[in-house]
Amino acid sequence: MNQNMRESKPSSDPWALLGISADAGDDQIRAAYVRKIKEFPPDRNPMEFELIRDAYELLRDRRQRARHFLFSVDPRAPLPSMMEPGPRKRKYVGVGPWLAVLKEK
Amino acid sequence: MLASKHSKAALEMAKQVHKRFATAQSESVLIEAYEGRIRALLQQGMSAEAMSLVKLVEARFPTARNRMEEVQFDIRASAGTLEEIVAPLLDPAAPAALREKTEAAIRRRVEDPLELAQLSSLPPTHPLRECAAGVAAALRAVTTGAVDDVVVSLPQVSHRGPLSPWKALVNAIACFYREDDRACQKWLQAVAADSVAARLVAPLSLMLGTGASSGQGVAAVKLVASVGAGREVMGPILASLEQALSERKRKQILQLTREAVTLCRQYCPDMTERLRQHIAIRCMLRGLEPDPVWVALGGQPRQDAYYFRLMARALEELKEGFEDPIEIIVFWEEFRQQAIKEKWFTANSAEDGVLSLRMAKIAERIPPDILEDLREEEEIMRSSRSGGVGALPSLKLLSPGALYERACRADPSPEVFGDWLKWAKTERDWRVPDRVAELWRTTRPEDVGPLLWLTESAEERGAYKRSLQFLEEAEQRDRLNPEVRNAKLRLLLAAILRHFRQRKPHLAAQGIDRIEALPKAAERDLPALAVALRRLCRGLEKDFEAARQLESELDKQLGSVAAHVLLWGLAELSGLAASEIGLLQFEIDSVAATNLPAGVARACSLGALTGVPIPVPNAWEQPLSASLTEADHSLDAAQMLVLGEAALRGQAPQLAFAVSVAGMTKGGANARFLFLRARSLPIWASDRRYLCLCAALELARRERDTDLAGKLLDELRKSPRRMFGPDDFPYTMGRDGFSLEPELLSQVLEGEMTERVFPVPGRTSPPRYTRENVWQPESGEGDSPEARPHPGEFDGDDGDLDEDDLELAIDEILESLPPELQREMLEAMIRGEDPKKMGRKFFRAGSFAKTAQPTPKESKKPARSPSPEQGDLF
Repeated sequence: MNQNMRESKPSSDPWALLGISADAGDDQIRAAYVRKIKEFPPDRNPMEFELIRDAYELLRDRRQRARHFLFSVDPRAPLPSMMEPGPRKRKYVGVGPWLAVLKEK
Repeated sequence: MLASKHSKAALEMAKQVHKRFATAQSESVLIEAYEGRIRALLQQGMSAEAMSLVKLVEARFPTARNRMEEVQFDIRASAGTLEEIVAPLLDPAAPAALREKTEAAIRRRVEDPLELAQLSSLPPTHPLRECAAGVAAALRAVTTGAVDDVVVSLPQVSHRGPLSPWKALVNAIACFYREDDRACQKWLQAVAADSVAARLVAPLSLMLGTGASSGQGVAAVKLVASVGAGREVMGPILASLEQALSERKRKQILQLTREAVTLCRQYCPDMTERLRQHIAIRCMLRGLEPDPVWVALGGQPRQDAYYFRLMARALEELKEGFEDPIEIIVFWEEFRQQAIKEKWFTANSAEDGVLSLRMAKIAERIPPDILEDLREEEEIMRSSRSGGVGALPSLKLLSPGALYERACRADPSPEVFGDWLKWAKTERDWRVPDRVAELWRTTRPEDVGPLLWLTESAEERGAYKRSLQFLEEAEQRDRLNPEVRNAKLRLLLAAILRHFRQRKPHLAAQGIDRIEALPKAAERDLPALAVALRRLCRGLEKDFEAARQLESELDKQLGSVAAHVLLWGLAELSGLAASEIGLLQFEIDSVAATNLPAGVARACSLGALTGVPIPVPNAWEQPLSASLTEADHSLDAAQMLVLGEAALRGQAPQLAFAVSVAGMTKGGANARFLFLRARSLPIWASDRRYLCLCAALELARRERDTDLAGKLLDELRKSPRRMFGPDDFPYTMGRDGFSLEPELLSQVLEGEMTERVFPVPGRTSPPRYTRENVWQPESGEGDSPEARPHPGEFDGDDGDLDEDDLELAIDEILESLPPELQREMLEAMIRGEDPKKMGRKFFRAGSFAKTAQPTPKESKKPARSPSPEQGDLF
């Protein structure tokens, strides 16, 4: 699988929710799930747990995973939604580009 | 003149005035003009020229010395070195005003606090240098990674000091990376507007989604893009474009597309291609012609795997009746080839299997006549597609068999094989499903699924020994499997009926012994089945005395009605005449109307249990229908449904309709009875039939009855909404999945609940909801796919016939037939037979047939060889 296939929306991206890459295998998916539920136990973070559980349910079966991978793209999705910040956070780029703005008159 | 920035002309004029009057006043005016000129030069970056002019003024006008000192400071502040700017701070005796001016100059001039921290003219322990070092370190820290509050607290930097804007900026950047946008904005407001740090306020505001994208410098654009905050920048313009798309404002769509693509190229170049692809697809869905869209996009979007997938999904999403299965398959195949090339997945991977399975299911919806036309077109045969691993040539690409084969190669699971076999069973040639089952059996020897089919298939062809062999094999795999057990009972019963047909009662008796030995034989009414079979055996042996005794025993077990229907049905299935086996005529009049349906239903249930459907005697259709609709019968829903199915099988639509009336009267609007009602309706009531099916589907979905929903979808896909419409898209299902608007659903349910009479043309009027919901084009809607109708949202149907036209057309057809055929056709219409079947029956090879002959294998079309590809699977 290739990263390009993934959708940008974090809520619809089970791989991002589990913090794994799109080519992660069964063992990696299981390990990521265990790690995440330790991080967000159901008694303390029920909402997050629910999302993590759903993501895992979607990815645990190879066929279902492939189905989601292939067909979850929504051609009618509102255009602004494709620009919603994805799993990537704001990138640290060092001081250079910031100073370049300060030096630009 | 100075105020209007004409300093050169003002100076020349002041010189002339002073030359002429030479007064203190004129000198003052001249000095003011010189200062204006000097500041103008400074503004233009000509600091050297400004400084030489200061020297000249100081030399010529000693009174102007103080004034020129201030100007000199400003020149140093704007063009001098940092050492020169901070010099006054080294003098402890410097006046407060000068210190203030110096600090202001530092705010306006220092572009990197590190320069100030490294200034050699300031002692290392000088507070300004220490503060600058702290700010420089904090700035580098916040732009490089996550930091603690302590790093950005900078307590040494006073809020009045020259570095206070830097402290605010550093904190704003820290908050920006923490995604605490509100705090970031608060810090940005604290940055002094005349400071160098303020140059980052606009780009940061833009990255927060609150600033304007116009007027940003090159470095600012680069910063936004590299930080990855360009997505926020794109938000407002994409929202406007979305709005324009929803309002279908063509000009605005194209204009905003241009702007969005330009902005995206600047601020998030990595997203530009995706955006162009999405816009192109959305415009296509909105029905915009492609050329102007491509111009606005700056060219055709890149046709990569992502694009083809988006396109195929978009085509799938088109509303019912307007999706084109062939086009969808072509785009999925393009996607597949491209995705393999781009290494999204490999051929024969799980993804390939899932995709091929999806394509196969879509290919099933291609109307056979269209496929036939395509087959005939040699051009298509020649235009073989681009190669690639597992690539299929054009026509094979549209063959469900070839696609299922590819799916099975990638994912040889029972589910995929099961789907393939299910499709293969619909093929005309029995060898197609048999070949699939054989492949399944070879690939997965542990599965009983293929053996069950092979058993059934061999049984249907009369190859009983072969079918028993398959069944034994299935028993070896899984003896407890209920399907295997049912198959065994069905097969034994079929063999007994065959022996009856062959008039071999001794062999039939052996079969009955075997049935009685089955563990299943003691279940429900099955003991009565053995008694009934033995009764027929004795009849064939002419031992009528024993036959009578068995008949009485059967009466005791099932009741007289069920016993008679069972015996009559088994005799009918075995080709035994009543007189031959001593079966007496049943006096139906002697049975209470309330007992009749229950007895027939019991016999039919027994037939359903054995897998050998027991027919309802033709002569009983009328009294049964009457007792169902009028009498207070005691049938439960399951019994009624069994009876209804038997009626449909026996081509008794009026009885099936009566069962649906009884069921709906007793249990209200129920999905299963509505399904029965829909199928009982004559084909000319196709609109009503279609809406009943949609309503039943809606109810089945609400009841989460997936099994029934599947059957309804299958029925809907082969049911045209209009009998004489432009082929009525019978093979398609839209994104709404034949759903009905709630209002129409309740109209259908209410309407059908009150309908109690089987429809007859000219005698009964259709329910109100079918009259009110006639397909009409929506006013003002273009022909864009998104504007197209779905069930309950009716589209125009120009070429269709209205009720009057329909009657005229039928009259014309009838008039052209000989009287006996006229009568037969009318009867067939009333029974609700399919007009296509009627056509085949009445008009054969362009001439009238020798009236209706029994065509038991009518549904089996001429045999065709199985697709060669099915032999090369593994």
